[in-house]
Amino acid sequence: MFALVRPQPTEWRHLQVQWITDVVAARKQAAKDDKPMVVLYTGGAGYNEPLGIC
Amino acid sequence: MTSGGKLLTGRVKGRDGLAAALQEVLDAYAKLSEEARRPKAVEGDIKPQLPPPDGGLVLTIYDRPLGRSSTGQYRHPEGEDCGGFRTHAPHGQRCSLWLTKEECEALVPATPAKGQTRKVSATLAKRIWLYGLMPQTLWVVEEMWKPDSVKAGELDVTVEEVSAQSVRMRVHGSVLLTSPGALHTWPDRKFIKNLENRYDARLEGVIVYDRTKAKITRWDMAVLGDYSGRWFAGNNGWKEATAESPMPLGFAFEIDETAYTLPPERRRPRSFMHAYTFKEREAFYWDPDKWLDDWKKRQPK
Repeated sequence: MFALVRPQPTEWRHLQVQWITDVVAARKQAAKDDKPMVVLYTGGAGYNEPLGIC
Repeated sequence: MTSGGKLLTGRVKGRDGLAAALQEVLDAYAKLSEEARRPKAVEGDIKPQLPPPDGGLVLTIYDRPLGRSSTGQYRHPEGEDCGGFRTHAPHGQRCSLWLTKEECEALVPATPAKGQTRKVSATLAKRIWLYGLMPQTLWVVEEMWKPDSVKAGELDVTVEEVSAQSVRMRVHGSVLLTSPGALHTWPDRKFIKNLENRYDARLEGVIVYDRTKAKITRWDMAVLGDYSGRWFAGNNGWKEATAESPMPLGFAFEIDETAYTLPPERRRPRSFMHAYTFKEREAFYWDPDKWLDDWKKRQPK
């Protein structure tokens, strides 16, 4: 049951990325590394949050 | 997006995945001047998410409705499971529960012996039931258990193995949660009828306490039960799982291994209940009885 409910290998794959959860920190890091940022955000009343309902 | 806030777009529509769109973004970024790519200063203060309690624990909780095969085997919904409808989050939802150091310590007997059984504190048990067993997949943050939702419940830990290095315990119990709800049409929210949200479940899992590290290093727990009440089927709107044909609903709890090791700017936000519902009432998160007392005072006489 535990394994059935947990995400399967094909699910929640974006959590394999270590996201920065503060936008200012992300901007500072991007400027330092000279890289663009991917901003992952979704609409909805909280239930679409990319990191889950945390 | 650049660190200066310039939006760089890549077209996803008609493409097979994100890779091509991300390459477009990278190509556009490479064409920018140094000044456009890297502002001299990035304004603003870093405001990291709050850290979990010292010496405590963060549990990650997954939930999802399940289906059953013709032989009764539980499975991910398929075919006519869930009345042929699906939730808005087909891969389930993800939430968390913070535990204090004291709550963790209270789970482990001072002198553990195989076969020893003790009750999980009433406060922690209620926190697990009311805040941990929120079917986020079904309720999409529009619903929650009420302070008086625990109608029956027990939660125990039994010592199974003791060694110099660790104490392995079985966590087991059951709970009945109910709350009043209302079924509406969607998206225009026209009232259809009142109903009861109800979850009748069993909890079963393993907790391992590392005696050398003096911390809980494993908490794998599954919860399975029958859910009846309202649930959101995405663009098909709100549906009802009836008492006659309840929906199997499962939860999986496990330790968030990263909660205490990630740098502050990468910390995971707190749960919806913790950060939003109890934003101005933090004490209610840590003690559901305080939430109940306050709620009782607010009820019409």
